[in-house]
Amino acid sequence: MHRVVTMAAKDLRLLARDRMGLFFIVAFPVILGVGFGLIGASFAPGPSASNAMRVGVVDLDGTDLSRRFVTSLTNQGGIEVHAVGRQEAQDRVRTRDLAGFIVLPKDFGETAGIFWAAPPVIQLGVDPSRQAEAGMLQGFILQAMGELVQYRFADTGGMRQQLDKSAAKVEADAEMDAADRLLLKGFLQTASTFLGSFDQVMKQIDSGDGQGRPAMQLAKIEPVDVIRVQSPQGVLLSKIRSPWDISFPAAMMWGVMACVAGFAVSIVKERTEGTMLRLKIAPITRAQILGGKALACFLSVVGVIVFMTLLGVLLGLRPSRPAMLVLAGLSIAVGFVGLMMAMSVLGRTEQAVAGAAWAIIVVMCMFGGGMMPLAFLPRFMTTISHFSPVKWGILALEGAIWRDFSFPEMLLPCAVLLGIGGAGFAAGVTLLTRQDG
Amino acid sequence: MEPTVRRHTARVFQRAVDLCLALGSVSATYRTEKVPVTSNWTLAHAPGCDRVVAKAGWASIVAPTMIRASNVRKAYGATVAVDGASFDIPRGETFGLLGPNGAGKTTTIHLLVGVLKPDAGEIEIDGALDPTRPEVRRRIGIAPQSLALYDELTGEENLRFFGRLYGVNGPNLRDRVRWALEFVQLTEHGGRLVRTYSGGMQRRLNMACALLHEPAVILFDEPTVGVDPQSRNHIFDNIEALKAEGRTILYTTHYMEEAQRLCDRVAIMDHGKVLAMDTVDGLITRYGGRSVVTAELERPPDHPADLPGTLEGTSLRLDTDEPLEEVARLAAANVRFLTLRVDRPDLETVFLSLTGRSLRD
Repeated sequence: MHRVVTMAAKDLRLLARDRMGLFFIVAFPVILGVGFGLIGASFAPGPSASNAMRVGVVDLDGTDLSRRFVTSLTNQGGIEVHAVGRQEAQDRVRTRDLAGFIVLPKDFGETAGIFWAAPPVIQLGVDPSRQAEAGMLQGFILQAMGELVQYRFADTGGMRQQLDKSAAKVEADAEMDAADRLLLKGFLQTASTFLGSFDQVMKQIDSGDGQGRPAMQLAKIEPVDVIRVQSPQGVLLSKIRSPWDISFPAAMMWGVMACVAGFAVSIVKERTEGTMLRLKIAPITRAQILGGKALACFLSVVGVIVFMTLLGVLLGLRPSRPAMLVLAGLSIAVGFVGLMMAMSVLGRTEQAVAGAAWAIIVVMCMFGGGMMPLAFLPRFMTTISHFSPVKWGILALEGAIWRDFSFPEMLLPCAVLLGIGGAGFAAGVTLLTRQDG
Repeated sequence: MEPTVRRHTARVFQRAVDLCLALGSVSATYRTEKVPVTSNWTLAHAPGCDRVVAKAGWASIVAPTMIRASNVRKAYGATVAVDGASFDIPRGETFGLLGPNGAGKTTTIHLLVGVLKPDAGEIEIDGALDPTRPEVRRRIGIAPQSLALYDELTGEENLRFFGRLYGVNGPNLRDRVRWALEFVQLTEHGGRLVRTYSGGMQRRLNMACALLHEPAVILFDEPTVGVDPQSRNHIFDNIEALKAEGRTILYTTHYMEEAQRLCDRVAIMDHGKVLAMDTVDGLITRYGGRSVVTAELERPPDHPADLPGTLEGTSLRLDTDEPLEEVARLAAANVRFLTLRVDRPDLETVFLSLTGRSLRD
C-alpha cells in the first residue's frame, strides 16, 4: 500500500504542477457551474427579469385602449415589452435582440375589446428560430385582449355609446337584410339592458364589502410546483433552492471528466517518456503501478466533487441528503476511475489518447445531460442517454442535491456507476498488460 | 590442498592471504589479471572479491557471479534481437557491451532486468533466477538509455520518489538523496524542476536515480548519448568512482573509447550475437592485429635490406607486435626520422576484424 500511496502522491503532485490540467479540473467546472447557474436563474423559484421574453410593441394607435393593452401585456410577467418603431422592431428581431414584435394598428382603440365588432388586425413578427416563443406570445396577446373586453364592460358609459353608435349604423344601413337588422337590433337592445344590470351590480360592489370588482377570467390556472415539496404543516419547502442545484451537478461532471482525461493521458505519458520502464524495473508490481494511478484519479475526482460542493454551499447550494451525496461522489469516483483505465489504452501516444478521450467525453456529456439538461433533449437522445455514464453521474448528484432520492432510489445510478467502474478497470488493466507485453 | 575462505571481512581475507603465502603462492589471478601475492594485501586491493582460493604456488581471488546470461535469445517475429548471448559478470567487475546501434545491447539489458522475457536461455542476478522478484529488483539499479525522469518534479523529488519505491525511507532517504545529488554534482540544482536542466544534467540525474538505493548491480545503458563533453567527463568520473568501490557494472556503449577507458572486460555484440568477449587488451591481442609503425626517414638508408618492414624511397612501414621496441631499435641503428607514427590496434579495429564493418556504420 505504501508504494501505491507513493505513486498516487507523485501523480497528484504532477497534476498540481500542470496548470492547463488544473484549469480543466478546477476552474472550468467553476466557470460552467457559476455561469450556467447565472444564465439558468429561471430554474430557481420566483420571478426573474433575466429570462423574460423580450418583445417590441409598435403602437400606431396611441389611444388609451392601446396603452391599456401594452400595460396588460407587461403585467402578465414573463414578458418584457419595449416600445419601438416598425423598422427598429424588425431590425432588433433580426439581430436576436427581441423575440418578436407586435404592431397595433391605427384604429386599434375603436374596436378592441368589442366582441361583436370586427376585431383589430394585430401584426405579429417573430424570430423564425423561436417558434415556441411565438405560440406563447399569441397567448399573451389573447390574454391582454380578454382584459380589454373586461375593461369595455366595466366602462358602461363608453360601452353604451358604442351600442348607440352600432344601433345607428344598423338603422342607417339600407342594404342590410331585414332579418339581420332585426336580429342585430334585438341583440343591441339586450346588451343595453345587460349593461344597465351590470352597472347596478358594479355600484353595489363598489359601495359594499370593498372586495372590488370580480375579474373576468376564461379559466383559472393554478400552477403545480414540481420542484417543491409540501411539509405536513402545509408550508411549501423548496427542493431547488438555487440555480446552482441544476448547474453544479453538470459542472461537477465536467471536472470529473477532466480528471479522467488527464490521468488517462498520464498513463501513456509514463510510457512515452520512459518513466514506465523505471517503474517496471522497480520492486513494484504492475497492480501497484496501476493502483497508484487509480488512487490518484479517485482522489482528484473526489476532490473536485468536494470542492464544487463547498463552493456551491457558499453560493447557496443546499444538498438535501448529504449522506447520499457522499455515496454519489464515491460511486462517481469509482465509475470514472474505471473509465480512465479503459481510456488510457485507446492509443500509444499522448495525442492519440487525449484526442480519443476528449472525443468520448464530449459525446458522453452531450448525450448524458452534461451540456444541456436531459429535459431539453429530443426523445431519442434521452433514450441513448442511458448508455452515458455522465447521465448516471448527474442523476446520482441531483438525487442527493434536490431530487431527494431515498437510499433505494440512489441504488440504481450508483450501481450502474460501480458496474461501469469495474468493467472499465478490468478492460483497461487487461489491455494495458497486453500492450506492455 | 585447496582451502577456500568465503568471507567478506578484511580480517578473514587477510587470513586467506596469509594462507596463500604459507602455501608458497607467489602469484594470483585477480579477475582476469595475474597479480603477485604480497603480505600487505587487503580487501581494498581486491574490490568486489570475497574469496581466495589458494594452493601451492598459485592462488585465485574469486568474486561471485552477479550477472549471468546463458544462451539468452529474444526475437520479435522474424527479427532476432538477441541470439544466444552468454556471459558471466563477477562482483566488482565493470563489463562492457560494445556494439553499434541495433546490436541488441538494450534488449539484453531489458532481458536482464526482467522487463522482457527471454524466448530461451536463463538469466541469473546475484544467484536468483527470476529478475522480476521484488527482492532481486532491489539489488538492481538502472540508468535507461532514454531518460526516465519526471520533468515537472524537481531533481530531489524525482530521487525521493524512486527511493521510496525501492523502500528507502525516512532519514536514510534524506541522506541518500543528499549523497546522490552530491555524487552527480547536482547539489545546487536539486530544487529545480528537471525540465530546466541541461541534457547533461538530466543524464546525471538519471544515473543518480539508479544509485539511490545502493544496488549491488548497476546497469548503464549508453549513459553518455547526447551529452556535452563536460557532463561526459562527470559521468566517467562517477563510473570510475563506483568501480573503485567494487560495484558490479554493466555498461553498454557504441563508443569504443568509453569501453576502453572504463571496462574490465568487453563483449562485442552485433546482430544480437556476442562475437567476442575478453579484456580490452585480450580482445586487441586476439583480434586487433599488429601495430603499424609508419615513418618518413631523413635520408634513404645505406643498407635498406637491414631495415625491418617495407621501404619505398624514404617511407617506411612496419607491422609489429612491439612497436615501441622496434622504434627504439631503429633509433639505436642511427635511423633518423622526419615523421614517425605508431598505430596501435584498438576496439574499433577489433570490431572491424570481427564484422567487416566499422562501429559507426
